[in-house]
Amino acid sequence: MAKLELYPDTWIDVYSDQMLGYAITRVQDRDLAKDLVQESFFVALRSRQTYRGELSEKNWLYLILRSRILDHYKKKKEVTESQLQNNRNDEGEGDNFLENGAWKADTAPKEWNADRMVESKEFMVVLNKCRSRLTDMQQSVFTLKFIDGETSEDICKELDITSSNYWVLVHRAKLQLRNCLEKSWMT
Amino acid sequence: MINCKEASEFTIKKSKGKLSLKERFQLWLHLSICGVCKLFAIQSKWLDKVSSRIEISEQFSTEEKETLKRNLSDIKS
Repeated sequence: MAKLELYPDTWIDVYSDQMLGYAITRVQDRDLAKDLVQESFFVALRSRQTYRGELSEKNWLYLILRSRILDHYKKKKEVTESQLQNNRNDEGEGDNFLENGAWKADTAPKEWNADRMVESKEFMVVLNKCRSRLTDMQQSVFTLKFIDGETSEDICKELDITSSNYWVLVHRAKLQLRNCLEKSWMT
Repeated sequence: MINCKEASEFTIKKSKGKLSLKERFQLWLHLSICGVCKLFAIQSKWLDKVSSRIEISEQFSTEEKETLKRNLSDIKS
């Protein structure tokens, strides 16, 4: 079988827009996404000798981009952790639950007309806006879990977090997102 | 009996098949009498489905592409 090859001269025209969309979906910041895509092309070009032709050119480039995105998540995690040490304010369940674990009346889930929501194009805009309001770590975990559909085990490994931390993050992200959607969309 | 906060945690874990038999029973029991948590469970599931469709499309401008190409060819040479 013929070995797959790389054609760096065509990369920008063939892949750059798709890769930008992929990155922006995951980091929600155009400038950052642009940097990540550019870096990925640089890395790819510098390490093209190591390409063995086992993956398609496209998959190989995406693999590099993906690892840049994960690096970015890890960097954010370090920042978050040092912030947490200085300032341990609780972003999360306190908004939704009373001391005894019952729902607070004002943020308890209310009936939605979910079908009406999805039909609207603006819904995705609202969903993304709500997603960008999550804390950095919540966003990373949410993206890996729900957009990429990764397993909890893989996510813990990739972000180097414990399983109990992971579930706390997912839980908070879900609650926050739900609150935000209800507030911005249902009223 | 688990409380609503625990029930919402269990709901999220359940979607990934991470609940023990006992926890599943506790959740089922709670949801059978708690309308608000049941609502949360329905919305949570719906949110999973919708979130998997999140995709933002974006393009580089022609100028940006030209710059990218120039930068890339600088490295190559």
